[in-house]
Amino acid sequence: MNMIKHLFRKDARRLRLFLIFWLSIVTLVTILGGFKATTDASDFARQQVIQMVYGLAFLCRFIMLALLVPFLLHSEPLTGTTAFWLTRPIRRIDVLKSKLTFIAFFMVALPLMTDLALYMASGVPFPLMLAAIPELLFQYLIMILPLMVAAVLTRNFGFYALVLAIYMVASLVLSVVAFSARMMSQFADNPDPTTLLDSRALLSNLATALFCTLIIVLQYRTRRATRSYVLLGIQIVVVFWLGTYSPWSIFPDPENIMAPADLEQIAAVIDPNDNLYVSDTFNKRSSEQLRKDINGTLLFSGLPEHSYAKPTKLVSKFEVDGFSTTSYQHENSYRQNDFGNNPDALVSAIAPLELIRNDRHMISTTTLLEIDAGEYRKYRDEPGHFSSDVLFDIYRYRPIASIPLKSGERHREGGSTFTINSVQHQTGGCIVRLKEQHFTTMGTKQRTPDGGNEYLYLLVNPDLKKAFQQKGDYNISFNIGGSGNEMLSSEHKNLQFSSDGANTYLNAIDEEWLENAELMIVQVRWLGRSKTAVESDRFTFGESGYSFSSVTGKDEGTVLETLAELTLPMNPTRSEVKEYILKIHEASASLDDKNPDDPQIDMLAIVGREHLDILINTSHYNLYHSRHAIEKIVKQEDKELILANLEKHDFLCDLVFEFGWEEDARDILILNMAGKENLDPAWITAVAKFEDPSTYPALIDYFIDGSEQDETYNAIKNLPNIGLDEAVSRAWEKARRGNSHDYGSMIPVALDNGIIDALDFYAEAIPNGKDLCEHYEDKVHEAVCKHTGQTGSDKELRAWYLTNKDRLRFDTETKLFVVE
Amino acid sequence: MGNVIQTNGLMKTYRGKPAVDHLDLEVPEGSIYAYLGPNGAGKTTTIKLLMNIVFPTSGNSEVLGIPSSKIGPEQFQQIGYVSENQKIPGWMTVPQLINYCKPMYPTWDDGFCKRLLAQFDLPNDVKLKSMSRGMKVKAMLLSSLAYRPKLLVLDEPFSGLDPLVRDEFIRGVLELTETEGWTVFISSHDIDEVERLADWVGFIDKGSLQLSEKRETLQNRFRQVEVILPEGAEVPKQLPKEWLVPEQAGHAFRFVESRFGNRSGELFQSIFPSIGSYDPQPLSLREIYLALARHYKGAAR
Repeated sequence: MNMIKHLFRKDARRLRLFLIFWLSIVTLVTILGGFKATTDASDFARQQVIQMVYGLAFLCRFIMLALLVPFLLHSEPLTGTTAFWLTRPIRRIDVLKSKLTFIAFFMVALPLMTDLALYMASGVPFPLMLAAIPELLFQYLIMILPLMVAAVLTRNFGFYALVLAIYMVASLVLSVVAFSARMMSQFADNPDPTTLLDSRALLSNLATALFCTLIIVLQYRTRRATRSYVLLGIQIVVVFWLGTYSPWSIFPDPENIMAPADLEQIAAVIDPNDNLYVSDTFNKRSSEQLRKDINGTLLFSGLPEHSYAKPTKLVSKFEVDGFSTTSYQHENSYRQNDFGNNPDALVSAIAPLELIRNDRHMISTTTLLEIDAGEYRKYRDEPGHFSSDVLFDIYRYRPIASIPLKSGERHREGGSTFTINSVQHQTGGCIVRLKEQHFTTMGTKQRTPDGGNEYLYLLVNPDLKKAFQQKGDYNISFNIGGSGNEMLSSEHKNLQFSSDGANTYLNAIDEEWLENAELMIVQVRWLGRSKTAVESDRFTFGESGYSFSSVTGKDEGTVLETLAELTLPMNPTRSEVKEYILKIHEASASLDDKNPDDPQIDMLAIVGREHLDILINTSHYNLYHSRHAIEKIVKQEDKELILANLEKHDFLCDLVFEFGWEEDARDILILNMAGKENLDPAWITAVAKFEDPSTYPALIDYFIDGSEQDETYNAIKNLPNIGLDEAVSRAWEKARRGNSHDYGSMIPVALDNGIIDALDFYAEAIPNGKDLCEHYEDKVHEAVCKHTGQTGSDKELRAWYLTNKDRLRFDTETKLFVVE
Repeated sequence: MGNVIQTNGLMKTYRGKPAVDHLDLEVPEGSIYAYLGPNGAGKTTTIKLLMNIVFPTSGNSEVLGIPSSKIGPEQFQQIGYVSENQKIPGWMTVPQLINYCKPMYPTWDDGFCKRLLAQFDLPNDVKLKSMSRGMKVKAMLLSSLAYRPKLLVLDEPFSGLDPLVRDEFIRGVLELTETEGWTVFISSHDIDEVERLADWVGFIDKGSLQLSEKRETLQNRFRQVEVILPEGAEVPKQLPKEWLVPEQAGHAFRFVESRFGNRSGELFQSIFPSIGSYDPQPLSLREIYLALARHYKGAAR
């Protein structure tokens, strides 16, 4: 008889219900992992739900494991003197083998298979997956072996839970000590390198595995629990020491880091062209002395190509008139946004592409000195001597790929995959939803001080040779699979690119721009860390506050001067035409007053009907001049183009009227009215003219919910059988609670329908705090006169109303409020 | 005929206190050895030492000719062990227990197993954890007898058994020892039952073996003596050491003679010359056990 198989079958039979639950949990965790990897980042609510369920399922998986292991081992316990199996012909080694087989099959192999299936589904290359199997197995063992140790040292679940709790508390306490020691090390001048930290983690894990194995084997061989407890105590101490203080580094140093001699060449000075500025230091406790931060920009020289430096720690000293103060500053590092300090690095890295910098607020400075507020006031105007030891990191940009801006496009680089999930075009830009996935094993992990490469993304147009930096993103990241130290991390990024703030319409991102656009992936790689001294003999603290440069307004004369310099080339190409139009729009951007005599209209009109589409598509930059220019050049032959653009540019509706294309535009006009609130009034007039009862509901809805309600009312009130009484009541109720535009436009309509509340609103609410939009003052005054038969100022009209308000009746024939 | 169990200076201490103290025990092959002693005397510890369940502090022991520390599956295939404290796989039913145990024993006797099953009247569809204590003991006995072990070690086996089953069990064991030549090592408080079984008796107190001999010789050398003292007669302060647990109540004086023989009467007459009648009565094993227990308890005081 094969005793191992016999015991295995017995255990499988005994634990069958637990196994079913365990397998369900393992499968659930895998399925949820798959969901997480594929769920769109924009579906934030779904992500959150999946994230929470995944977390719970993962916790359940661990709890199940922590239950299964003792249930399995305690059926043949190694401690105590009353176990059934102790006096039966069962070899202890057979028991051990059968338990190991059970654990290997159910608790290691099955979860491993599900993890691999998930990795495969996530597109991890097969060779990488194969290479990761030993590490995955090791991770599972590290999780299971301590549970086995607790189980072989106890005879029932109560004792097991107690031993496990003591073991975990001891480990937790030591972890806190280890963490504190690590933090101390990280803030030291020479923090422990990542290679050493990872080596310590690996060595402590190896020691855990070794000691646990030793304890388990010894227990099965001898059943001497006391000796095993001693070993367990030694294990905790050894693992703590290896994980915290071990001096052995078993991982190679990161590749391509700079040589120490090259690092020494790098120097830094305080930017003489950038004024220092002062800000208050945030104090958590009110009793703390107020302190000031003196901020400035550090300029680094001697940097390698395409690279920049980022200060991480400053130990600064300021001396003046016998006074001396020292401060210690730690700078937070967030690499992607730091290139504002040194855009040249990125510019040179992506050359010949031109980098459009539209993210002025990203300019970051360094806190050079922290000083007591009183001392600041005392020495603010006295130049002193400033010296600082600056610890800094060097990073290099390296474009690794450009992928077409289309859903499903992807780029693979080793264990990293970049996939565009979707591209959403917006006015003046787009949002790219990108999945950044990294499969990292112990062997492939980059052990730079800050956790390995990061990536930034640029929206590039290779034809125009232009690149936009990412404006912002919100990311959802998580790890998938594994047993704790997950290998597959997946991050969904919403990359926002916008030409807003680019200060020139020439760089505007539009549909045409996006047509050939690509997403460039730029790697930000750590090159090394060094220290340099910064000194200044005439250091002053600077002024409070800091103003960023901004676009200044232009007067009309400047605009005309700019316009005078613009000419349309002979036989221009489309891009020349577009550039010419955008320059006109850009020059006109800051004008407050625009009128039909502006030269911009003629200047735009000369692009001719052949470039009418460009004029229409750039009209949102300067609607006033574009509209007039378009009206000037449109001919009957342009009907198709105008109708094609009508849905997107509702101002073209005027042209539909002018040329009598209403019937041709009928479907567009009717279909695109639903759900809109700010259509051109001409649009509503055009739809009303059809006198089609099927359009009445949409027209009434627009009247209630849309803007310019008085104009809408005038356009539809005479439609046969439309019946507006209820709609007017609803619109008024809505408008009286709205803003001054809302009730301003609705008072005349309400009065026309005999709603006395509108008169009351005019007389009571408006003089008592409800502003009336200037645009509607005359309209409202005229409407009150018209429907009361009175004349005079608003004051007189209101006095008349207040005198007669209880005796007013609306005469539907004359549409007058009369005094009874 | 050799010894199936033999210990030499076997000692087990817990936190410095001896639970078994220099135990020299011999259990002859084919015997039914009753291992008696009060609670906490060290009976169960002795058995656990013999079965290699606990490890000795010093000394050694052999079971079936093998040092206890080396007892392995081959020996356990010949040893049947039932203890009142033994944990049973409660999730199993009796047929599952049989199926679980059977493959471990090459000598498993299905016919005998069936017979025992019928005799013990055990249900097939009830989990062991749901059974009464007596049922559980029966199930354990079944799983320990069905392979006809050479040595049957029973640690308080009668707990929870109803009288009928006890009787059947005792008769069965007697039958088997006669026909199969089994050796039975049994520790029990239930001396009346053991008396019917045992042909050897060992008495342990405070970890030390006080006596170990054939039941027959033991009972032959123990006698209860009770006399009525005449007026004025006094019990001497110094009595022979073989007179155990002497008691006086009014004129009545009684003691247990532990070296009963031809000269016992002469010794009695020399101490009580005024008493003419000397009528020693034989004692049951239980009475001997109680006399010894009280004797050692008094000696300890």
